[in-house]
Amino acid sequence: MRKNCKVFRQQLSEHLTEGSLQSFLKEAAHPQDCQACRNYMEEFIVTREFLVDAKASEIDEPNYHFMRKKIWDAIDEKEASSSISSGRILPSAFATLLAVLVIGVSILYFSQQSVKREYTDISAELDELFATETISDDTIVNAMYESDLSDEILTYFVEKSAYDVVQEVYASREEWEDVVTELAAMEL
Amino acid sequence: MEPDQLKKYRQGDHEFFRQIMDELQKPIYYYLYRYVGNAGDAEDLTQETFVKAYTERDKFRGDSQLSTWIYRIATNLAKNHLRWRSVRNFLTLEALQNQIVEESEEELERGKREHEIMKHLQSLPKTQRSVFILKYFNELSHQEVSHILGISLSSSKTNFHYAVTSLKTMVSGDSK
Repeated sequence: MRKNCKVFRQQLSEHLTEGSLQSFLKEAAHPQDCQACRNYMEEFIVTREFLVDAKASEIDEPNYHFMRKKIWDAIDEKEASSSISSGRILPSAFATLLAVLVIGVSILYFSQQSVKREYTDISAELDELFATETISDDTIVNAMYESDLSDEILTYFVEKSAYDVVQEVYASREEWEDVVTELAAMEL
Repeated sequence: MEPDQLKKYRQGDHEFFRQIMDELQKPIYYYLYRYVGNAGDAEDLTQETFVKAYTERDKFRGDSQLSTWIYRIATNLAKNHLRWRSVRNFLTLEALQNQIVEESEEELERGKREHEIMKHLQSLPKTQRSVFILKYFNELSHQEVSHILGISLSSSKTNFHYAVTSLKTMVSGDSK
């Protein structure tokens, strides 16, 4: 194949899509002198028509909406798994755990504080009661019934060596035997 | 690509990515359909292309058009798919041609020429096929085609010319 044939045919190929084929062929001098290229040109024109028809014809169209949904589902799935593998979830899980731990410790601390405060309040109240001559067992009993802090109150009285009061209180609650056992265990 | 668009893309902005899909879903599907010659595979590959374009967006440096990048993903997936299909012998060329013939019989009324061109396209070497589909059917420039396929501008033009010549021979052979 001569160089002119090669150049002409390559230019012809480009006119499959670009520019005007008619004006190109009108201006092209080479095919007038080359039978092989005229034959080539005729076949090219047939092919071009075939391709134009093929381009215009419909192809199997998918359901783009359904496809789009599947794409987003797959993206969500991949992002979730990559979050785990890249450790993005681990710090957040750790943070959650830490938060739960902090909240738990806070609750425990404040409940302890609350117990302490309650105990302190009752101690002060009992101190006040002991400081007066008007202390009555009923008052102490009521204080103990109203409180969950029997042990703390018991300790308070033991510390004050007020065993008679303790005995009185628990006797009234018919729990004295238990208290005796407990005091024995404390080696008091 | 505009910096704000690149930023949106890199950040995984869903609305921006939807716009990209609106623009490219159909041409990418058409490209893949003509490249692999099978609607089901083309559908799967289109999905895979967009999933990859989204999940691997941090690999996009922004030095080309986003569409070029997505076409490149599609091309690589399609090439791998055909390689895998060939290696596994799931579908030999003969089986592929039979399948196309079967499809064309089933869907004769939808356009015999479409199936003829599909058959001819499958006979082209892969690079010629890609170049031809992208240039002729997807109407991209040689510049864009060369960027997508990672070849030179002159290689794109040469491959296109060879593809046209091969198709001309096939079409002429069919018409004789």
